[in-house]
This record gives sequence, structure tokens and C-alpha cells, in this order.
Amino acid sequence: MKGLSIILGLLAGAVGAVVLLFNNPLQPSRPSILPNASVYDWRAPEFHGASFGAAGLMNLPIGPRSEPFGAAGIATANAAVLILTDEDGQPAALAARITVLGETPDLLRSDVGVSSYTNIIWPNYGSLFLRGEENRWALIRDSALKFSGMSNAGADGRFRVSRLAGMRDVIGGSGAFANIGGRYAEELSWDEDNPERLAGTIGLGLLTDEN
Amino acid sequence: MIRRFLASFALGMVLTLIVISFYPFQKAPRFPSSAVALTNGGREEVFSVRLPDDRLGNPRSATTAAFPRTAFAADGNDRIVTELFRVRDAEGRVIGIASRISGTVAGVRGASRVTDWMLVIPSRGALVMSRGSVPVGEMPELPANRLGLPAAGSGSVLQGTDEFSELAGFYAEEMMVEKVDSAGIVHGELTLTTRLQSTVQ
Repeated sequence: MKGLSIILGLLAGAVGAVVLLFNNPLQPSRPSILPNASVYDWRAPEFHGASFGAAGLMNLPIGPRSEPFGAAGIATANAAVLILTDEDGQPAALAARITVLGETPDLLRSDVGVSSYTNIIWPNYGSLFLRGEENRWALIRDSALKFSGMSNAGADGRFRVSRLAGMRDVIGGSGAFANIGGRYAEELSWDEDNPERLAGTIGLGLLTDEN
Repeated sequence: MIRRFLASFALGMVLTLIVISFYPFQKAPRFPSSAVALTNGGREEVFSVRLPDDRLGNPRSATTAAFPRTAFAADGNDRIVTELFRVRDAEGRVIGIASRISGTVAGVRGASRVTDWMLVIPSRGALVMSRGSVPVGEMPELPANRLGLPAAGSGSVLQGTDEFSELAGFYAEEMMVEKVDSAGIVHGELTLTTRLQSTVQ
């Protein structure tokens, strides 16, 4: 009886820790796309390297097909060409994105992130460089709940990704975007046509120096 | 018995959180920098791309999206190209990934060409470089001494991150073509020479 209560206590404590982790009050906030942002949907017709879904982030050999680069130096990175479409569904811009697994993930803070570098060009108009620190914990949590058979009412198949506070997201630009700063936010989801790839919606909130 | 259960509960929770905190995430191995010191106080580091082996994706032409015709300039400079590459250090080891976008953008005196580079080394950080773009909050680039790099084919480093975060400078892009085979594929080496100086006073 004495041993049973200890075992039950340890097991209940472990379950409690996992429940606490999945409902962590310390996790960083995730910004939504602002109503006045310029919004584009994007897909990745070309993708190379590790897929940073839940399994890829957690270094597990399950989940969506992931083909990391063979060279050790870039095994934790991927590269993609994105096509951004406007609200009418017309191609509006072309982009390159390189994503790298974060060097300092912290599960206790529900912060499992990637650093992403994006270069977007609008033909005959201008180009922008964006730098983002994305927290993909929501993707891991929702995948874990789905895998365990537990319902997750909050999951709608899209994952908002955050940036670290204080980071200047828009690094620089050319043409019409020269000298324009700003922020961006993104929502990710699995591409319906390519289940191993992410697609998304990006909202650019650009600011001139006068703002 | 309840006290024993509660103590075990707390112990189980703490032990689980400790185990979770040591979760074995994947990390990129760090290769030492091959930068060499310059006599003017800066540092030079050369990165290379072996073509066609290091090109990611279509080896003949990079992805060009099917944009509406109205998005293009009427003067024929309508091709925007995005390319992805593996990047090697001076010893030939693959250490990073780079993207290169070239195209036409609106300029003060009409359309102008821009070439943007992103060089990301997972274990060391990133260099965002461009010929035609300017960092947020700074004036457009003026002709200047580029730490000894030639004006043609060179541009400025807009921002560095992590290991490169306190460095500023320039880069030069040079293509050495060995041959173009019967399929039209270019064989050769693309080198990116970076010359950087510390921004810390």
C-alpha cells in the first residue's frame, strides 16, 4: 500500500508535468496578423532539406516525410522558393526562404523555434529582407494531442508563429521598399497538395521612417 | 498515506520537468571560421559554390513564377530569378545555404537591377547582402571604398546575425566558368568574398 501510493504519486506527478507543459503560462505570446497588414498566401513549389514539422523539430523519425541535407553542417536547415499570391489568388511576388533550427530550444518555456530568413521580390517594384524568430511549439503540442487521440478544440490546422521581442523583422529593402521598416506575422499550415511541406499566410505591416 | 502520495506527486512532477529540460534536440556542428586578417584591420572570408553540384533545384534556370504580364517591365528586363545553393568554406566543407535573387525593381531614375544574397551558416549565423538594397533607416549606398573589393559585382552587407552581428562591410561575387556542357549546364565555381570590420567602437 505504501509502495503503491508512491508509484501512483510519481505517475500522477509526471502526468501533471506534461499537462502543465501543454498549458504553459510562460510560453511566449504569438502575434496575430494585423488588420491593416498587406496579406499574401504563400506556397513552396521548391523545397530542400529538413521539414520542421513536429517530428523534425523534436528530432523524431516519424511524421511527415523529411529529407535533411546529407552534409552535417546544414542538416538542421532547409531552403525553399516561395510564390506569394495576393487576395485575388494572382502571383504577386517571388521569395527565397532559408530556415534553421534554433540553437537554444527551451521546452520548459514552450519555446521550440526556428530562425527564418526571407527575401521577397515584387517584380518591377521592390524587394524586402525579413528575419523572423518563429516559435513552433503550437505545432508540436497539437500534433502530440492528435497523436495521443485527445481532442484539441483550439486546433484549426493553422499555427501562428511568433518573433522574439525586440527583433527588427524587416532588415532592408530596395526599390519601393528602400528605407521602409516594419514587422510581419505569419500563420502556417500543412500544404494540402504537399503534406510534407508547410504553406502559410504572411501579413506585412510596413512603416515608413515617419511612422 | 495522502502525505506520501503528495510528496511523490511533487517529486514525479519535478523529475519529469528535469528530464524534459534535457531533451536531446538536434544541433548543427560548428566548423571553425576560415577568415583571415586584413592589413587594414578587417577580416576576409571566402565562401564558394561548386556548380552544378551545389545548386539546389533546377540546374538550368531557377524558379520563375508565372506572374501576370503587367508585373513586368516593357524593356525586356523582366526576368526575376531565385536560386538556392549549398555553400562551402575555404576547405571545401559544406557549411551553409545561400539564396540569390536578381531582378528589376523601381528606382529613382526608372527601373534598376537588384541582386540580393542570404548566406546562412546554421552554427554561426547569417549574412544578408545586396547590390541595390539598403538597410532600414540608412541612406542608399554611395560609391565608396569597399575595403579593397572591386566596385563591379560587389555590394554591401546589410546585416549579420549571431557570430556576424557586430560586423559590417562588403562582399564581391565572382563566377569562374569552366565549361558549359551540351545540356547548357554551367560548370564552374561561384565565389563570395566577404570583407568585414567590427562595428564595436
